[in-house]
Amino acid sequence: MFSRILASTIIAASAATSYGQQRPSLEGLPEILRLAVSRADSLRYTGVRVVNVRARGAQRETVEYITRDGDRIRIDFPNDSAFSGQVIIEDPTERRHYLPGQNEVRVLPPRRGESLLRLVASLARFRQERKVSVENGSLIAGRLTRLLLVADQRGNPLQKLYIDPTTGAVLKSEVYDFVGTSVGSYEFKSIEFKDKIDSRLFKVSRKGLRTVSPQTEANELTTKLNLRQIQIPREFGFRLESARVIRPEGEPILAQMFSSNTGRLTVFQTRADLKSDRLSKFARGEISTRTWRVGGINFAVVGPKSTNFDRVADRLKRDLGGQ
Amino acid sequence: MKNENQLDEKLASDSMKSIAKLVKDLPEEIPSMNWRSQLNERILAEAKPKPKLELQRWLLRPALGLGLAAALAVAFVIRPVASDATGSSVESLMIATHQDDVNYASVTGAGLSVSEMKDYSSPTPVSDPLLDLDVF
Repeated sequence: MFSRILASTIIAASAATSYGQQRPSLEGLPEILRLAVSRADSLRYTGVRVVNVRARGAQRETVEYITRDGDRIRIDFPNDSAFSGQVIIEDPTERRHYLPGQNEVRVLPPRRGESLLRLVASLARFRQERKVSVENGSLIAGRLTRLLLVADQRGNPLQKLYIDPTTGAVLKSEVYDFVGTSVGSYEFKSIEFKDKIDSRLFKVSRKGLRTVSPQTEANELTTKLNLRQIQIPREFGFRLESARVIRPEGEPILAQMFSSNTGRLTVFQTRADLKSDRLSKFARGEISTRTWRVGGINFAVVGPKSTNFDRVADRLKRDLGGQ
Repeated sequence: MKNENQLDEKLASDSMKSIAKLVKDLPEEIPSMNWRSQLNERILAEAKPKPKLELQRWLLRPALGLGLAAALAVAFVIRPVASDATGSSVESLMIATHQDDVNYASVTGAGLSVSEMKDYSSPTPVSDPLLDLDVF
């Protein structure tokens, strides 16, 4: 847990510094990283990538078929995947996740640019605390790469990006915690760059599809659980990404995840006992927490340490009638 | 029964009687009180606990000192993984949920998010087999 907190703090803390900043400055960054960022919205390819993520001791692996046309991306899944039949289509304005089994499409905020932009924001902010080096990378998906290594001051790796120097595509990415264990990674197993991608691939037409937004989902859950509806005003730049119950047994806890261009925060509400000092203890001072209680419901906001977090928490508390 | 008779006969023989007489005539040795007293003192001395000084010397041996220092470091200096943070307390669950979300987003980009992985992992047939191109 400790190492996981540290790893995500790198991301979260760096993100906290640049809320509302669409494109962090690329000045002073290695040429290969500038290439990757500048080409991010113009690449065209199809490929297969394997994503590995470790969470709470469990390793999850998914295989994704990627079709990318500039700032649009389509993700399909193999027939033997638990997500077979589902399709994700994302453009700069929204992300649409098709669930044929339920005949639903879930409309979400776009997420594609998050990881690269956060890295750039982190490097800009923690220029003194981070060491960035470039060396020859390995052969990924049949292409020789350049390895961009981001490390702490002692040289411990925090993130590795394997970038194709010809196209600027990030073919492999690994994120590490502070004890050097991989928190997660993705790697392209094959990739084929294209001059043109059929634009029909980014349209899904199914009659009778039910459109579900995270807000719809959140509203249904808050009604069902007799909890409060939560909205972060647009001026803060956060959009609701998902809402789910994280402890189905006993007293339920509703978790609502919000994302902005460069940061993520989670708002919880529950009728279960909640101790503010224990929450702070688990956060270890590396992420921000705020709690309050109104009408028998305990609220908690967890997010990156930043003044913007404080503003959001203050506003939510005020809107919900907290003292 | 036959063996018993033979044994009785052997014990009643002259040679055995002379041996029995020799044993009977041996002087009886009674342990002296002085000897018993000395023995008791030795037993008491052995049973006494080792002096504390000896224990302290043992504790202060260099190897043990290093071990003790390492144990104290683990306990107080190095921040251990909070054992209850991996449990199911409301507070630890909240922090872990947030961290998972941040980690997943940093790695997967446009790929499946943590909530999507958990909520939507139900495969759907890609197409009706009758509509495969091979059929036509």
